[in-house]
Amino acid sequence: MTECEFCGIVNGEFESEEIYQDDKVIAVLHLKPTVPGHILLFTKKHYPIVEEVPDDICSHMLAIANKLSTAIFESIACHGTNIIIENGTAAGQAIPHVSVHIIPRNENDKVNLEWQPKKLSNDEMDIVHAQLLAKTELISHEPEHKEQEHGQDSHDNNDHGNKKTGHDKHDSKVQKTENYKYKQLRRIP
Amino acid sequence: MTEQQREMMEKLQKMSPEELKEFQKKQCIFCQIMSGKIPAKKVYEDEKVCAVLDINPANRGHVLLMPREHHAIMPQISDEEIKHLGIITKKLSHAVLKALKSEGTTIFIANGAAAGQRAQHFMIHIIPREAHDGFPTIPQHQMSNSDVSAMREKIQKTINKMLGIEHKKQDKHNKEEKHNKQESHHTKDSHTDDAHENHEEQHVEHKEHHDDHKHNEKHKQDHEVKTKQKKQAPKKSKPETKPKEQSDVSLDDIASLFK
Repeated sequence: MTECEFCGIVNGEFESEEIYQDDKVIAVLHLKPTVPGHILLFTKKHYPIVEEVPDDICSHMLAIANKLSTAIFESIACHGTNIIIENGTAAGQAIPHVSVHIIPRNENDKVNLEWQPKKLSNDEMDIVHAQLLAKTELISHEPEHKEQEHGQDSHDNNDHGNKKTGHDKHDSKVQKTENYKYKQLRRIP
Repeated sequence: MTEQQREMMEKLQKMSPEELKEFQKKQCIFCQIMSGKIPAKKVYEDEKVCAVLDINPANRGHVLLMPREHHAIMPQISDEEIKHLGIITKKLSHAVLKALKSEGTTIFIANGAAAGQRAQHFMIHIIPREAHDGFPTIPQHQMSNSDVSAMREKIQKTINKMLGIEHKKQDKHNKEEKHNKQESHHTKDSHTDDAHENHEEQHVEHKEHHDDHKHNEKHKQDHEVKTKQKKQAPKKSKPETKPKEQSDVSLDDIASLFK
């Protein structure tokens, strides 16, 4: 566990400029900030990627990220904030421990986080739409793993009820693809 | 800035937050998408949120998750909505990874035009990622330790104030009582736990006053008295607030930064 830099901070093995902590999450100042005031918020428990964080901690983390973002608005009078989660090494995640960047922004701060939009043809959009729908329609069916009910609506279930036959297929796929989560993280030196 | 834009700016400045919200709502493309007036490729929806494909995606499969309620920026959103958004974000990210076999996702929120926010409707971007896909990385810069510490103090003060207030919200209706307590506090030994509790309540109330009556002289005096009391208090359970001029940026000001 202590090989992880963030776990080291949680244990107090590494020094940090702590801003906030509770039983689930901790927030510190980034030591190599994009701009002064750049905060890192991470879970106390070690989870490599967002998908593994239990619902209650995940929602709590976003709520605290919002509070921290509001706090920077008020304390250092910035014009905006970015809240970014790099999920997976391909997304730039350097430490295999889920963390949220909260970055104060100002006009003309010379920080470039904007992407170049790509143009997809209508056909491509349709394909990707169908691909995503095949997975997202399962969201409303997903059982709550031991976390509290979060008020998923039920009429969605009815809407997609006729597709339920595909479930078994999806499940086997889920298991097959489960490893991708770890595969990418093992690449870290 | 053209004359027309300037007029618009002035008009927006004068609007109350409610009017501003209503005004934005009417013009908001995303509100119209959710009500079905503008077609879009929805990938998920429930009674609180809706997710669509971005028509100008950073990568193939770029999803926008939005609350149904119109909010310009995140600080205006209730905890309840944020928490639901958090869970759905995670699930959408998972769906993106599975459906598109992406190597990762970037979850991206921009609050305010300075942060690159284009639309006036708050949204969470969920962007499928591949290594070397050209997506901008978060730049890092070296910063001196003393600068970092100074920054920490500033932010920590504010977040503690904010969360302190949250915890004490239920005490709001006891305001009058608190006033009385404060009077007696002068004579009390501040080393007792009781006094310490008192002290915390003042801390809360002080912020309320500060917000509600920023320019009220009487309250400023109040404020000074309280600060003195704080200095006497021995415990440093909270990083103490010396009467720092709070920045004048309110959330409504921030909201009005969107043209």
